[in-house]
Amino acid sequence: MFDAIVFLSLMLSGYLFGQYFERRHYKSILQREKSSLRVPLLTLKTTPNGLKSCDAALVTGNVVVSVDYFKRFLAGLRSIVGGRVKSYESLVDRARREAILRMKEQAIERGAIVVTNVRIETSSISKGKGNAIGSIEVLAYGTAIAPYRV
Amino acid sequence: MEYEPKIIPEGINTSREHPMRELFVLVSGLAVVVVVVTSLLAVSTDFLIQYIPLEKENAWFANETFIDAEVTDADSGTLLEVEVEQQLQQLVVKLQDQEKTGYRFTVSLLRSEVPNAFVVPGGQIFVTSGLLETVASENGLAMVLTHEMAHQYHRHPLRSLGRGVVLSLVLMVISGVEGGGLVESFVGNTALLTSLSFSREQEHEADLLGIDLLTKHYGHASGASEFFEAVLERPEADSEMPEFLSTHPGIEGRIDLLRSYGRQSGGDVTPLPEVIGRYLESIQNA
Repeated sequence: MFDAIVFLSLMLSGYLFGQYFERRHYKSILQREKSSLRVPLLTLKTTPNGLKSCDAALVTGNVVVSVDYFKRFLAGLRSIVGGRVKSYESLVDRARREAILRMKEQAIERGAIVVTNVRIETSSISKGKGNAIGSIEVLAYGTAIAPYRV
Repeated sequence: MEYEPKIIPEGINTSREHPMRELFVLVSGLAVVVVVVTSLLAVSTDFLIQYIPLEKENAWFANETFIDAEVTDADSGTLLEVEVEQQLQQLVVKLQDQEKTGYRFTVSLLRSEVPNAFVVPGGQIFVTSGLLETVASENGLAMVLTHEMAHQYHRHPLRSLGRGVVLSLVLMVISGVEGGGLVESFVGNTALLTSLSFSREQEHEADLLGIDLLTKHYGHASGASEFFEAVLERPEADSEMPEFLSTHPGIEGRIDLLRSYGRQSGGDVTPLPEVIGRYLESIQNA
């Protein structure tokens, strides 16, 4: 009985907080993505012609997100029946976009006009820890190309 | 060509489905599967148990110690406790269903304030000293004994054991599912709740057969509800679990059932045997 109460309150708080933070995060992501649209991100390894004599620097963006109790339970249920783990998809999506945004913001600060060779890496922080809370880290990095300042 | 920044539309990498909807679908779907599988397994073990001969069951569990020797009076009992045990044993012999042969009953007394009685595979009945304090007449005590004997006549202890073994096997299979103990305990608890309904069914069967045996011996069913009425008056009765969480049917319902028999055929109750009275006195003095 007591366990059930603990479980339900963890689920509820996981859901409420999780949803609240997710909604707030997406709002901020959408707004920042819009305002930084003018700097394109390229996955090209080479610098486009015409930008050869520019300043180039490594820019990185790094994010760690934790999964909430509610999402974890949903994903656990999914692992029995299979299918899209929808509850984790938004989490990874948020982490990826946030990492890119942080990288981009760094690039904009440097006066970049484009970021090339953009790479994204994802790793699980809690891997192999069994019941530990799942967290993922997303690292985005690229080469920020900015015109020389005169 | 001019570079024209565009916003990528939402909902490609994520789903717009409401998480609560997903939760509802998964939880209810899985619950249905677990309930069906558990019930099927429970019914089939129940079915198979009847093919285990009674002699085999008696032989398997004849020398099994179910309770730690410290709380039974198997070796450490006082003379009075041994006498009480013998008295209970005699009562059980008198209450036996003469038509059903091959059943072997032994009664053991447990030193415990909690009023309780139970039967284990092989037909060993345990009665706590607290139970003796709770009943007021031999008839009340006999109802408890016939209830436990009825369990054995229905082979309930072995059935429960079989069910328990099968269920724990199932839980072992699903253990180690990703998502940790959460899903495991969800499935486990659903299976447990399902199996509880089988346990309640058994209790009901034992009440019915028990009152039959009682009426056969005494010629009436007075005092049958004595024990439950006394339990209901104990302080911990208020904290009784809701029925669906419990191994036993609700006490009020059982009292109603037993009382309805008592009304149909009433009679004078027999007082508790003298040796039990002396035993209770010795407990109170200690």
